[in-house]
Amino acid sequence: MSQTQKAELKINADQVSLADAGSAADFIALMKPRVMSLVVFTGLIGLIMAPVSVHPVLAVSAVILIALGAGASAALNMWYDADIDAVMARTKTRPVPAGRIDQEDALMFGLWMSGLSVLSMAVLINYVSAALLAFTIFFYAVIYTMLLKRRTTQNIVIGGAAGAFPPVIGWAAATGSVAVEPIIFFLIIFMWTPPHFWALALVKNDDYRAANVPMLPVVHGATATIRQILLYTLALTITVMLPYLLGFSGLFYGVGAGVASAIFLGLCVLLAISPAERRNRMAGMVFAYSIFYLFIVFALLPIDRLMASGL
Amino acid sequence: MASEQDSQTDANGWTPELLKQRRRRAVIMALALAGLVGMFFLVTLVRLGENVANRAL
Repeated sequence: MSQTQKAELKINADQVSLADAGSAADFIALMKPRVMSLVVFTGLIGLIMAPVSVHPVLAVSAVILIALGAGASAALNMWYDADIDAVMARTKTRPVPAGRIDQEDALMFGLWMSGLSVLSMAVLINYVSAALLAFTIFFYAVIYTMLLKRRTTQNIVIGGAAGAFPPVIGWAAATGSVAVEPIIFFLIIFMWTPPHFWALALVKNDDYRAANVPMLPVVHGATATIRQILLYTLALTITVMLPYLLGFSGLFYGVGAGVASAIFLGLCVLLAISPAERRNRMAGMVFAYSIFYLFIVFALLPIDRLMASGL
Repeated sequence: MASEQDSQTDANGWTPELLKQRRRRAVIMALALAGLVGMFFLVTLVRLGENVANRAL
């Protein structure tokens, strides 16, 4: 090999070094594993609550594919949002804005993972769950990330639908169809998303303002946001009672979900009456509790079913 | 400083750390692919099992 060829190779290696610098951990971070864990959990509950028994191998495969799909949409989100992620303190250490993964690599990773998860779901599970998974990825990556996030204060309200689909996909993976129950599960997450994200937006208001993202607190201020948090939490409280009111969950779920919702509402009221200097701390508590709340509500569903079956 | 870094790179400009990182990534990718193949194999067995059990005799 001549010196010129060696020099050319070195230049090429330098050019790809940034793109190739991402470690496996960076690629895992690209899939937002914490968000993915909630997606996997709610998807699994949708699968468990379906009125048919599913072979464990099929159930595990479906949950893995839901997780891959969620990871794919997260990677596409990080590809598109690299510019605003770099401005926000909360997100500037993510692999793309930090320069550990090339933006184009994040796009390719997201696209390949999307194709792989949807096609595998179609081949291994069924077409309905595959179509729902494809729609969810499209909704999160295109409708929420590209169209809504930088344009409207209703970004996370409408975009929240993407995060609400996993239990529907889980149910569809088991049954091959969609019924009233998964639609209620969808509505629970849909109603939960605004208070969850607006509580975070209150805490990270300066971040969102700096990045020019029109979150509700940035555009309409803290008071209007807290009023909306209260209204959505009230609507959420009614929605989480629907499984009990419609008769597909028992008293155990009804009481548990009622208590959990009362605590959530109580925290929101405390947020509304807290003085300005303590508002951020209270909003942080509402945000943290909202994650625990969703976990509890969805965990209560199969536990209630187990108790009803006499176990 | 620059010469110290140069002495650690190979002919193609890869540092030992980058090579280690690339190897680790390749191993994880291979394991993920093997897992995917395993998943397809197991699901095929399950699907085939159901259909073999339900076929007309």
